[in-house]
Amino acid sequence: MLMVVDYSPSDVRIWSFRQARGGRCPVLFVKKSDEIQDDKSLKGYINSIAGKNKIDAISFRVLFGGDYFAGPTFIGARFFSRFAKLIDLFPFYVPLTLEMLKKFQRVFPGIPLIAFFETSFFLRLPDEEKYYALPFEYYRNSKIKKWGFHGIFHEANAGYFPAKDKTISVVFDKQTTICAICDKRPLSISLGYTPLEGVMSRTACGALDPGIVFYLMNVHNFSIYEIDEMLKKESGFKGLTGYDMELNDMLKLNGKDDKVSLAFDVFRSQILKHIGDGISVMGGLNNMVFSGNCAKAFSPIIYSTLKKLSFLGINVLHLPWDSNKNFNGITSGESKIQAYLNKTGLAEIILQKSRHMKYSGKREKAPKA
Amino acid sequence: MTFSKSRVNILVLNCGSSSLKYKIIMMPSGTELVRGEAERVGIKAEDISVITHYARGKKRVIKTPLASHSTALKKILELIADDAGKNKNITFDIFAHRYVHPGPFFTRPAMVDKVVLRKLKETLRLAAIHNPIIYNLIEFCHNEYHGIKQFVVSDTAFHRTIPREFATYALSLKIIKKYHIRKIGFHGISHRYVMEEACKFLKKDRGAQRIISCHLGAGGSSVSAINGGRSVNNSMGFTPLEGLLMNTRCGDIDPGMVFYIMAKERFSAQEAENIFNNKSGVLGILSSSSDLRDAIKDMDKNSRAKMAFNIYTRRVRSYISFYSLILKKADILVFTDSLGTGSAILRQAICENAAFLGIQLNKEKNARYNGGISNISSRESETKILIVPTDEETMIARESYKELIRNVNGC
Repeated sequence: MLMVVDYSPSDVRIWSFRQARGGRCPVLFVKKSDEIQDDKSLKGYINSIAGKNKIDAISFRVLFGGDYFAGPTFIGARFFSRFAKLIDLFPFYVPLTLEMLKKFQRVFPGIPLIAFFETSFFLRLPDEEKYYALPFEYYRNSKIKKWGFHGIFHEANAGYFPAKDKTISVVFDKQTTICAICDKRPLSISLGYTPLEGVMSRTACGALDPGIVFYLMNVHNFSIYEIDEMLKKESGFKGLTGYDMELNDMLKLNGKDDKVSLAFDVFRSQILKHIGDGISVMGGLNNMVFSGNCAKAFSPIIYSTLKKLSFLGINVLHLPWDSNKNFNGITSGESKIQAYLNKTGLAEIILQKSRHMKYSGKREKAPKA
Repeated sequence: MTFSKSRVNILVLNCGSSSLKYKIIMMPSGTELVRGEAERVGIKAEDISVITHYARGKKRVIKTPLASHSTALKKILELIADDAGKNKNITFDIFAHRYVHPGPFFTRPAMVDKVVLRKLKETLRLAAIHNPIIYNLIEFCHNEYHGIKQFVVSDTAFHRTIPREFATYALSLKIIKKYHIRKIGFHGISHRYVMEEACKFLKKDRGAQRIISCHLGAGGSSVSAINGGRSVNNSMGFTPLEGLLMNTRCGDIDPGMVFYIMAKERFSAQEAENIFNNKSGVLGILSSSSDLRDAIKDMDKNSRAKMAFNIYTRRVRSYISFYSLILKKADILVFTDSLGTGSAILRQAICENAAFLGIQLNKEKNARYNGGISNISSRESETKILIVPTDEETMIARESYKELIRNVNGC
């Protein structure tokens, strides 16, 4: 059997894929990270998920791979030495992940471990998209540039179409990201270095005039920590509505509560800005794919966004979009631009790729930085 | 002084950080009587300050030290008085100033009195470079020239109509309300002027036009979406730092970069602000110059110059595309200000690959542009692409005149 692990400092999400009638279907297990801190409890927990099945490989979702990892990579000594070099760039994330991966390697020495990076896809971003317009030495000395996010989803979404097609891929998850893809290459991505850029989330602000940060610090004496906390934890949907609730629940208030309606209007405007950006870098548009864990729940937002674009020749089908298929069209046959809802989960995408890596016997070399 | 006479001469004062542009415009005809610019005002520069003054068909260049904008104004008034001795029509009845960032105040032109002065004083830190300079000049005029009315025309007022879904930042409501944080938008005087002129040129009713206006200056740049004569979006934000790449400003950026750079470089907030405002943008990429025209000259042999040009044009294209979606395609796309009117290569790169949105440039017409208002779109283009030289001073005069009439009529 194959397992996919998505690790965060608070919890670990593990999908196991057992052979079942009609194909492999994922089963999700969630555990608090601190409950599997030592080797023994980790081994016990993983073995309890596997039962009598033999574990063929374990794949990991890794949020950041720097310049070193241009694709999925088998985890071994070479991996660790390169990954450790990224500590300076993401000091809160890399050491924790490094420790967790070393623990898995120690506990399951004979099982292939594979890392899938959310940033690999974006190593081929064009220069004019990659660099922030700060003094060049910050890029040279501190690697300040756009790293991107949700590359695993975006790359998979583009894979449904001919390479020459111009595709906009939208991922609705804890973060919402928008990516323009043509010739299998990302041409724009809404999220750059920190989780603040791009589209607002439940508690983070998204796009913001950086002058506001300076104004609050220099004129109203906010400290850097107060502003950082405020922008990450007290803004976004929570900030605009005052409601500290999951977005799925907040969606039910859209159109009934003025503050919630404004929050979703701002959210949709931010998405529209990045769709516009994507169209500008591709010089057109053939397909749009909406995916991610929250995509189905966000169908009303997707619908109203596509309605606003009907002048481009998008003919969106009325809600509800009921389908058993993971990947289903949400525009009519005569629509000039096709749109799709993709319910395929992250774990299933990683599973597909892991099987390919394992069975082809291909051991990918990490590219040179 | 009464304004019962049929014409009013307005002395428009347009302060830059180290310059003072001025014009005397006769309203309502809009006839220009005097124009000029004082340069290198209030700065320590190797070259002495200079006033270039045009009146009665003659140009005069006066080299003289100008320690402040009020010193410059005194000198300019001497020149005007000299002209008035030879032509009695060269005189002025009121002052009109451009005010860069009045925050939530003055969504329409205002006549200066003590209350207005007090309110303006509260806004000085909103635009720490420009506002204090303009405020000092207004205060100077208020104290020195009692009998002459003054008007302030805000560079942000045109954007008060931006709808809330585009004007709202996703911050906590408490912060938004307490500090009046919203997209303010800038270059409103220029965007409004080119909108009016473009509609006149095409003989179109502006109430029915969807317009994207690109004010691309050697210093600041912004793009506006205008629907039915009203601004519905602007690429600048609460401050002029947001949006396009500019000479020394970074424009749109991950706001987390502020914290990252402050922590990494151990900068204070003031030091970081200086980096983002004065050391970034074209200068940050190119190092040797902050002028995009230098990058354009060098881009065939200098990869960083090419990158500055590509990032600049990519950002303008991005906003044109976004605003095309908001407006459901534009009827008119306008280029203005020094880069917008001055660089055919820039306009061509911005319009490249935009046929999907109805924008198609005629490359020959674009390359041949030689001043004035010109239509440079191809015959197939759904969107009319125009070059319209901006004239902020004329717009300030128009707005002040309207406000004056409103005041005189008591409505």
